[in-house]
Amino acid sequence: MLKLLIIDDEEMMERLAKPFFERRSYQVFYSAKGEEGLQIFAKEKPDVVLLDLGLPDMDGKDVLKQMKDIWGKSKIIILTGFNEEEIKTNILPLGPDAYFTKPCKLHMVDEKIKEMITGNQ
Amino acid sequence: MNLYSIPNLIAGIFCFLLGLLVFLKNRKSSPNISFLIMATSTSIWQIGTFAVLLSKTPQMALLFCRITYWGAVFIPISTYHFAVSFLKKRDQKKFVTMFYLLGIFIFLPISQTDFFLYGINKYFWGYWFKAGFLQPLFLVFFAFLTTLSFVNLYISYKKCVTPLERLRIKFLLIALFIAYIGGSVDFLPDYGVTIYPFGYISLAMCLSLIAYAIVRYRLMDIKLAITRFGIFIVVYAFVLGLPFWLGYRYHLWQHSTWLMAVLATMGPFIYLRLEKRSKEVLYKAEFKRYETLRRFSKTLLLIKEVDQLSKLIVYRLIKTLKVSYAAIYLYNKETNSYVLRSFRPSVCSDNSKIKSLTKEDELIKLLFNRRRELILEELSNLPVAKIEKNENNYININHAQEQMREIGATLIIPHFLENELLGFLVLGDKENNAIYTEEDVSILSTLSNSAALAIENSLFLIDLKITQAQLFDTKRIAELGYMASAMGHEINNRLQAIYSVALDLVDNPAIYEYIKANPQAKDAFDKDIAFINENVEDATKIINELKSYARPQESQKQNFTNINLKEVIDKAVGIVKLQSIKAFNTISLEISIPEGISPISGNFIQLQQVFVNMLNNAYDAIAEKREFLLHHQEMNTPNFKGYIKITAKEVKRMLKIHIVDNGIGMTGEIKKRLFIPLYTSKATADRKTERTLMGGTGIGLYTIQTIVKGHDGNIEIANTERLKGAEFIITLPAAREKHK
Repeated sequence: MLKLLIIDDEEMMERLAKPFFERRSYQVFYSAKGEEGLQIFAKEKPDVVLLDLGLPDMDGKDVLKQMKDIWGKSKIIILTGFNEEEIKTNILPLGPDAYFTKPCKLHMVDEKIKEMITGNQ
Repeated sequence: MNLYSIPNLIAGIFCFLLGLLVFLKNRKSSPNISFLIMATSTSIWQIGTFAVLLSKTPQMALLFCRITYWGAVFIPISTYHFAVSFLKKRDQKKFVTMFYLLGIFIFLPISQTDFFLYGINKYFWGYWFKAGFLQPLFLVFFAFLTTLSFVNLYISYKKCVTPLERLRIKFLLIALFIAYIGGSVDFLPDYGVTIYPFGYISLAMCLSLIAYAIVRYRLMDIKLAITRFGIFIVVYAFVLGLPFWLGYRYHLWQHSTWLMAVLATMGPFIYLRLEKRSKEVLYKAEFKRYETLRRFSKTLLLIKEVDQLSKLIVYRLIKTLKVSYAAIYLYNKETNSYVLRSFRPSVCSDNSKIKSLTKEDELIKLLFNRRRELILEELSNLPVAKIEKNENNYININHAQEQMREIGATLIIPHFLENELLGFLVLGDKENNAIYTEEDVSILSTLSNSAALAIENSLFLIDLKITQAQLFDTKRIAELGYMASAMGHEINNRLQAIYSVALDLVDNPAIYEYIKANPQAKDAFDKDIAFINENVEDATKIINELKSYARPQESQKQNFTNINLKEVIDKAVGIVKLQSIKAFNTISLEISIPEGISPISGNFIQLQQVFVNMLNNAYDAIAEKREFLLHHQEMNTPNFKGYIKITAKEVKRMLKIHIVDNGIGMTGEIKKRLFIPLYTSKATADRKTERTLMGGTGIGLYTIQTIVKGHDGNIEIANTERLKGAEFIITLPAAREKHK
């Protein structure tokens, strides 16, 4: 069972994305805040992280960097409202494993995760 | 020592020097040569008279009297000679020769005989001529020639049309008249009449006037010239005469020397003071005008709008100076030329008047060279050599003169600010075809200076407005970008929620089971989900466009890429069609860009912005027309369908893009101001029309222009009429080389 950590301050993600992934046999952890998310990350060492960059307490980019330091084997997928160009200049240098611009279809995220994991094995 | 002799000596020397001066100005000119003869003859007469007056014995006086006639005989002849050569009367040249021969062989010999000068008279001023019985013959000859000269001049004066020549001839006529009167007085004592022969004053005056008329190409008013001369004589007669008289009468030479020193110091001041007073009396009307203009020029600085300013100046010039035509040309940075801004009377608005002049034009080159007023008639007399020396490239004075005629100028007053020619005043003929005097030029220059300052001021204000608008513009765009980014983020999150809910509806097993159990609901359900998804996708696109549109522009050319015109226009069309508030599908949009048209080197986003703006403007114009027709049913056009046509063609490596609409169009007034920032023809009070991002704020077309210019291109409005639509032409250069 894949461990998935969702860090997003959107209440919707907890209400909808969490059951969506659970139905697809992920073990889903959820946090709306960066600090808390990092704690869960350190404790659970999830396989995949869905990270929103616009967090209330921390800059998403810092969260990403710290995660890389704590446990480098997690796949990190960025969910963002930025447009392509901003992502190219701001996000990609940080080395996420994938990114999606909001709004995105969750099953595409699911497909992407599966692709990454199987590709890795 | 006979003091009465001194004026004659002075007059004699003065006349000779004057003749020499005029001769040296132009040794080859026939009028100048004849003037020298005239002046020399007069000089011999005056110096001879001086000797006569100084003579100790009657015998000696008689001898000098005879010598005097060596000059006197030739005075009338050379006067006639001068008149003929000045007026260029070739046909009378033979008479000149004949009269000279007559003078040399008849009158000169006769004058040396007792029949001519019978002896000597003695008056209070000294010895004087005594006429013999043949002398009246000479007087007739004298009167005949003088009259002949006079008639010649007078006929030419009547015929003459150019003010300068007219004034010159007028000078000569008056000069001759003065000499005639003075000369006649000198002959009276010859016949025993005791009148002091003050002829030397009028002779000196006559010759001065003539010399002035020959040498100077700009003549002052004759009234003024004579008054000045008169004042000069009176002042200096007093300054020099009084001490002399005192010294002579009371033998107080030492005191009188002191007195003379004091008076001589005061002389110039008295002269200037009297001259000023006399001017005020002589030119009461003119001074009033000048005063009006002077006061007017002070008020100019209060006006802040160039067009109003130029109109006002032109109006005031016509009213006050009563000139036939007045106009203002101002420098235009954009076109690098001097453009006709305002003129009067409007009847003169025929197309023959040149509307603009460039720095390459001879007239402008001449203005830059002279840096002072130009008078049409004087151009032919300008010292050409000087101009050639100063300027490496030769100025064709004839062309300049021709151009002056073409713009209807008799006088041009330039206004320079440091080294820049800001513009110039153009003035037509003066009332009664009179000449422009130094005073006119001086007051006009004052006016022009004030005008230049005021115009500079108002131009500065416009510049300031534009800068402010640009600042406003960039700030606005930056703010908008920031806002769009932040809001886009938020909206995207909402959209994510909607998306996810839609997905959940399909994905959620409970709902899924329910749908499965109710097949009749499935179609409607699928349709609704599809509708939600579609709209979310559209909304996403709009937000992304908004964000890219509003992003602060980087306009550096090194970021330019080769851009396919069709692609950028298609993209722009795509964007405007996304605007659900604008029903672009209700109008016909026709775009035909030929295949294989060269790419443009530029910034894609910016060019896209240009076309988005153009399309939005056209749309708004169409919407406005639709609205207008709705309220004007009488125009009976129920089937109005808006269209926008974009066509392009390539001419000599330039892409010409025509954007035509059949919207509300513009009046000439709006057309003129279209590219001025903050100007909008859209009814901003009625917020309905202010619906686009930039349109309606008045920045739209200005932004377009700025961007197009940043691409070395140009935008102009080719054609527009109220209710008929508009046609814009954007010209952009084809890309020169391939970008990496």
